[in-house]
Amino acid sequence: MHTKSALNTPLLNVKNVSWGIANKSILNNINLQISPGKFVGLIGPNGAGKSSLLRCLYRFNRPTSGQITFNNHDIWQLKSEDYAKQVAVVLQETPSQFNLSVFDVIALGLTPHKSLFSSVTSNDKQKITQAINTVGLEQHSNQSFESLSGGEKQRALIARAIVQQPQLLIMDEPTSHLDVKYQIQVMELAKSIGVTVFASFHDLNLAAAMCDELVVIKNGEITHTGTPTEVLTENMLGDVFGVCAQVNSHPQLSKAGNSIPHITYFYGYE
Amino acid sequence: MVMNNMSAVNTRHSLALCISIAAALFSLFAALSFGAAETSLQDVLNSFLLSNDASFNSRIIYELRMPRTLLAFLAGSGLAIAGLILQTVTRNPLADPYLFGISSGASFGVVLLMAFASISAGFMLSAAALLGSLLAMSLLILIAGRQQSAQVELMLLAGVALSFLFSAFTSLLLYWSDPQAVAAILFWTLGSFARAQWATLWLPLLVITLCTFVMLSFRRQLNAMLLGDESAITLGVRVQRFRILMLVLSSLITAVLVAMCGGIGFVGLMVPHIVRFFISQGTIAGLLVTSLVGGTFMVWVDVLSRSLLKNQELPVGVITAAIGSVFFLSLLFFRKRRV
Repeated sequence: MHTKSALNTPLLNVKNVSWGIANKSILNNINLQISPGKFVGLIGPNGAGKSSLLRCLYRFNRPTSGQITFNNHDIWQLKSEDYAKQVAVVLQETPSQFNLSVFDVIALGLTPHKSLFSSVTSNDKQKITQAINTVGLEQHSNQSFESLSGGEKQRALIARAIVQQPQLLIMDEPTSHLDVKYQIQVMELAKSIGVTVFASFHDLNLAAAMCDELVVIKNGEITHTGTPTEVLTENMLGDVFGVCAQVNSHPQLSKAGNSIPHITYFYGYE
Repeated sequence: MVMNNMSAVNTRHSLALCISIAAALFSLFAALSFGAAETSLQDVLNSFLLSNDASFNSRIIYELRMPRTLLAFLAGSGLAIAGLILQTVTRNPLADPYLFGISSGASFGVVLLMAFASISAGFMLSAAALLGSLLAMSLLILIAGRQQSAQVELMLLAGVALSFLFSAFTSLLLYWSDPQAVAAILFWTLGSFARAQWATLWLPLLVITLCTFVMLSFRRQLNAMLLGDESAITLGVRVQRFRILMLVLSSLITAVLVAMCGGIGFVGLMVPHIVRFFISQGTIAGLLVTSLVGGTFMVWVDVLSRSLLKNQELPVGVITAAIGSVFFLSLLFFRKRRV
């Protein structure tokens, strides 16, 4: 009954958002909608404002003008725990030198759901155990978080996001320092948990294969939006990324049966 | 498999908690039999069991050693908790209650009182120390409280600067004071539990119990802070406010303890690190073990201070600093080897 309207109303709506620091404008008049159930990728060259934009979405940066709404509520009007119940975030690097166990880190996903004096119930424990199983860290739950490899850390953080039970998962280049195998693994894991995802990508081919929609940002402005096939064109790659490239079709089709663009870069064209 | 691992972790944590509770109870009891007067464990038992035992030993144990041992335990656990809180919210392994100028503020208050009012003992002294550390704390919060970004760095730098500022004032006052006052001040700054009395024990007991309770209820937020400010925000923690609240809590603990026992360094730095070697600090058990280990450690430091030299007391601060620096150097040594 509500499906149609639910599909039409964006989950997250960014309206005319600008943000800057010390009189320097970083984001200019950003407009963006994320529909429920989509896997949306954010791409752009270094310093384009990808992280700044994502930080505005998870309330680390407060926009200097404009409005961001989540389910039609201004995100700055919501209580911080209430927003954290609906939006989980996986960041690129999460340092911790204080011997938290993997289990403790994953259990942190409960934080916004728990009042100060409540303890972990057996239901919570089951949720945490399930999340650990989903990301395949059964053998490591006991270990210290710091002793995990980069890929395992990201998987643990995704497990934390699963425990948080969000409607939207935001990821800021969660795979950029990982080996290829783990880049694919972590992104497929994020796709498999069945929530709306907005993630920034470093690797354009990975973005093309994973995302339903892509958003391109350059110099703090959004230049292109659309499906990977619409967005990843040779012209766009030349204009925004400054590379000479050819775009073909990947031999595989996406799960939805669409063709996946595949970029081949040419070298020696500076 | 996960269930197995989890129960293994739970068992380890429960085991650590049981051991530290047993060690704490035993230490509190055994420490009562050490001191200048020859007493045995039997005497200690008698003073507990025989309500009308008015013997000399029993009175020493009940009126002198018991409040003193309890104060040592409270001081140790309070400083350990304050250190754990500060290390967690600043994510700085070197943070400890003395890094933020809180004890220098207290020393300044005491020296001011001794130099101008010639009062060198009693309740007024503790009040002056409390006021001095509250002044330092307020200045620190005034500087770092409204800061949005780089709050941790600002807090640490401001704390170190405040600590030097108050030390400078203290030195200036000491320079003008007479030698007797200087000796009294020196003894005070080195720390001692000799001034413990039943009548004043309620204050640290109240403050430390309350702060421990608050810390236990905020344990998830504390853990979230360990993963960085950004991650903590995404988990719904209001980072700036939370950090200031935790700073106030640990300052309160430190201020009360400095006022009652003088400056006792290194415990707040050391104990959380030692406990972290064995168990995760992220659980209720981890936090309680830190507090118990701190208390137990301090009880034995006090025993050492009473019994190392005949007819003389070593300042507690000297012993903790000596043990602390050896510990600290070995920590650095093993860190280097692990990398």
